[in-house]
Amino acid sequence: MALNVEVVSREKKVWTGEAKYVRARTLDGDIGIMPGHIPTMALLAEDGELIIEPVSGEKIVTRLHEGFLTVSNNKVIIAAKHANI
Amino acid sequence: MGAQIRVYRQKIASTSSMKKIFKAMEMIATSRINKARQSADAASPYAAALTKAVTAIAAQGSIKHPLISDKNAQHRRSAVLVLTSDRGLAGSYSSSVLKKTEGLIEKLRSEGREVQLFLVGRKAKSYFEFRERDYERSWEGNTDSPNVEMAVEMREALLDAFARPYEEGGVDDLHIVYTEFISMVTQETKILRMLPLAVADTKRIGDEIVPGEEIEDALVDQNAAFNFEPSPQEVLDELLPRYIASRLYACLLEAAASELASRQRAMKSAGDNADELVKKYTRLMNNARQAEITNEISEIVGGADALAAS
Repeated sequence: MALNVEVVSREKKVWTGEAKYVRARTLDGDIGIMPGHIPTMALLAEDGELIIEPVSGEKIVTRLHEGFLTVSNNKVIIAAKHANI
Repeated sequence: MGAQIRVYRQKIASTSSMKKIFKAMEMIATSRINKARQSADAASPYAAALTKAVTAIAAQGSIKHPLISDKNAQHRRSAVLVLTSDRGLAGSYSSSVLKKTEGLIEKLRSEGREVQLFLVGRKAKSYFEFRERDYERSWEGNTDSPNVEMAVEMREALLDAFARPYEEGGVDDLHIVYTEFISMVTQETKILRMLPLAVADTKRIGDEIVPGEEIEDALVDQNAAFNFEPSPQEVLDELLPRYIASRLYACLLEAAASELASRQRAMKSAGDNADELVKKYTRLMNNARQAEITNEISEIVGGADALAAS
């Protein structure tokens, strides 16, 4: 089982794919998401790190500015004001 | 007679050079439509993510937020955001939006509401300025290539008016008049009630509100009970203004695509007309030249006849 991850910014879709693990910084602190995570909706910190470990390929590390993240049914949507991968 | 030929030649020259301009404008519009469509497509995942999130929160029930409609609220003053173009030469694009706006204003007034106008595009501004009618605020500059910053700026102004109490000149609801891009040949002027957001039991103004625009219509995983961080209220406070900006941005992009499509069509028919005019003037010029030649020949023949007779 893998996470279906979608990273979108205001202007475009930035990254999409399967991942084993996602970590992001929310207002309350870092959140780590693995398959089977409970449905969550969280606001991202003003400036925080995003780490995605895809099923295949290199680990992705990037920075996000403001946004939110939703998890439901192993689908992770990360929507940020600015995002680059 | 010679003068007539010269006049026609001038007309042909100026019409053909106008035709070149029309052709160029048509081509520019065509390429920009694609750009506007692409930005609309690119922005839609973000809008979809927001819609989904807002819907999920709304589905939690018992949510109270000033931006979400309260059935008991009185509607005494309405804001109307009018999306027109900066430049003309786009057929009836701006005028049909303005016509629709007039209809909406009349309707709102007949329901006993005051109307406050927010205008986008120089065409709307000059329309209301010429008629010496007041408007609250206007934006102009790049209606054919809107950006996110513009949408955010509009949201600030609109939410500001929305947050102010009625007594201080605030508004109770917000309508948008814009043009929806259906295809290259069809664009439709639409009225959309943006604020307050309706979660359930939509109170509709006319029957022109686009289905799918209200939150309730969006697809949502109703069963998922979400875990909110930091809290549902805070998440909602943060997301709703973004949702509104993203909706505004979507409207701006639709309007831009429609404007360009109207311009492309207007320029196409202007170019065709120029073609016809050139053809007509060429015939008239040939006619005039032939008449001149005939005239000269008859003068010569007449002169020769007169000489032979003497």
